[in-house]
Amino acid sequence: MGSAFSFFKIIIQGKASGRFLVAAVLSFSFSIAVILSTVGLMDGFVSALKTSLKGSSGDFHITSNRGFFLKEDVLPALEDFPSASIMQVESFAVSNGLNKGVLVKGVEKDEFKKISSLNLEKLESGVVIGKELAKALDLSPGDELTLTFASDQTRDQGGAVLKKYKVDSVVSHGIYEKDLRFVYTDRLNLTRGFGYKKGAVNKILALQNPSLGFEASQAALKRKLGNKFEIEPYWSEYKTLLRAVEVEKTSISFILQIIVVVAIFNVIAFIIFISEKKSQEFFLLRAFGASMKKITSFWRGLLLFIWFASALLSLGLTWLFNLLLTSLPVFELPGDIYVLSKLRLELGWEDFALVFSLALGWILIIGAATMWRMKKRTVLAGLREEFK
Amino acid sequence: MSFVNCSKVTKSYGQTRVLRGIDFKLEEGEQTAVVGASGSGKSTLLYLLGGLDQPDSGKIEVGSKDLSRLDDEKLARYRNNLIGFIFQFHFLLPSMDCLDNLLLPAKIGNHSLKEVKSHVAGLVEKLGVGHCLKKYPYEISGGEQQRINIIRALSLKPKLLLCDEPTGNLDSKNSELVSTTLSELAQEHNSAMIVVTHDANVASHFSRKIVIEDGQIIS
Repeated sequence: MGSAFSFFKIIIQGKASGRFLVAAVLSFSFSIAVILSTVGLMDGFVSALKTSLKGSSGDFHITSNRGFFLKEDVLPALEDFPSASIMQVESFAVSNGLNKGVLVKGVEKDEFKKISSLNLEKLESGVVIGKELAKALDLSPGDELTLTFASDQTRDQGGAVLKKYKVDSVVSHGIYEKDLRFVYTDRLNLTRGFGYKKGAVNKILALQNPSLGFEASQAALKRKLGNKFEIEPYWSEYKTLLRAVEVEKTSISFILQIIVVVAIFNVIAFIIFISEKKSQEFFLLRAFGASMKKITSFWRGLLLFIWFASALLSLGLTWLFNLLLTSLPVFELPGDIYVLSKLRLELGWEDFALVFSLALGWILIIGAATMWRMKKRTVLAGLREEFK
Repeated sequence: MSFVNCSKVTKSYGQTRVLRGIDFKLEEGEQTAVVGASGSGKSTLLYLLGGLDQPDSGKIEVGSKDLSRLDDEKLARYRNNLIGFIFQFHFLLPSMDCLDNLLLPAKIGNHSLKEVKSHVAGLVEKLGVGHCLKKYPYEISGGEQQRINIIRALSLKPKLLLCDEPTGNLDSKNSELVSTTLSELAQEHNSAMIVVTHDANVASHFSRKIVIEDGQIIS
């Protein structure tokens, strides 16, 4: 311990050495933090997307392969699962000379609030729209909105049916795309308008049975409803995106190693600086009886210290980034690129393990190469070269 | 059996044959000067005895240890426990004050600092460098630096003191002082001592002189 402390004192002696060591740790920690933040951002994206989806549309989406079906026909199978029936149709929303393609969802608000945290309390005979749609069409509660539906082609030769609705309220899903495209109205009004039967629906949202859990609930629903129905988990409408994010996360973690390599150059510079500037001391220590094993252990300890200090500092930087991300409006991500309005970092132990172990691997490789160079010279050759 | 035994020791660096079959013995506590022109191989012999390098052929035994049979770990322990080095340049580490420099070999070898400190204190008093202990090497004179260097070499009571041009960097007054001190202290510690020098005045302090020329002992 005494000798290790003496070695360390020799190494960091002098302002340049100390500053260089600090710079190496800073740059290395920054690089690790960049990778952690990127990985955490992707995990956060997946998590935030799933949470928002779950909050607005329950656990399972049930659809029939025949399209429309009668609610009464499936209710017995859903008795153990809270559910809400939906009639959804595509439409154009027109207002103030502006228009937008939307998905009109006919819901029964009392039933809907059992499976969704979305507040549709103010829904009466009008519509509730997403906040981005309200922005895009310059609408506020109380304004009038025209919805354009496709009519029955055999009767009206493909003409459109225009219906006017009052905007009852504006809601936020936490997902940009939904906020821009979703319009809620009363299901019975909607089916009546189309001349459909009272119980006609084309989608049912259901919650899992808590006593069964998610997977078993899905299996039970599948069994009860049979092959004519599809039971998809709540994230299924984004499954391609989520899979892409997973693949991207893995590849980006490896690609971002290039940042670690750049930071490693700083560590290499420090190691070279130390091994050149302090080699007199190293060889003198050897002359006084420090074995190569002892010096190697110290060297390894120094590298581990750089790695550990960098890893620790990177945790701080990542925490800071997360804080900025969740508290500063400037860090809100643009909605037309990401479907979520706000993100936070989500990092699991496996993310830390991957990033920290790769960083450690790099630093040990570089350290071993430098030590190999030093070992090649005998003590005498080193002393003579260094003190000539 | 002698304390130091060198038998047919050769050493080359590249194409240059530096030592060409050195045979040499030294008894415990014996002191000798090794003299010769620059490049004659005298320093190389000293460093081979100190375990800082290995001969190409021949055998070096110090205190019945065959140096060629020692691995790096054992050679390091040999240098720490048995050998005291005094180089021409003091090689005091600028990062440490003089006391830390004195205790460096003890710290490297994990020796009892209490014992070493008490031994060193006597030497410090004897050589009159007590005022230097809390100072850094660059804050003291060349003569003081070399005296600190001598104390460091003797701090672990080495059995063999190896001195490479110990007065090469000093004026004649300090040179005389260092030569006398070295000789006296080695005697007190019963340490064998080999002093490599090309200074006839320094060599005159020793009853035995070995002359090396072109890698061979000629007298």
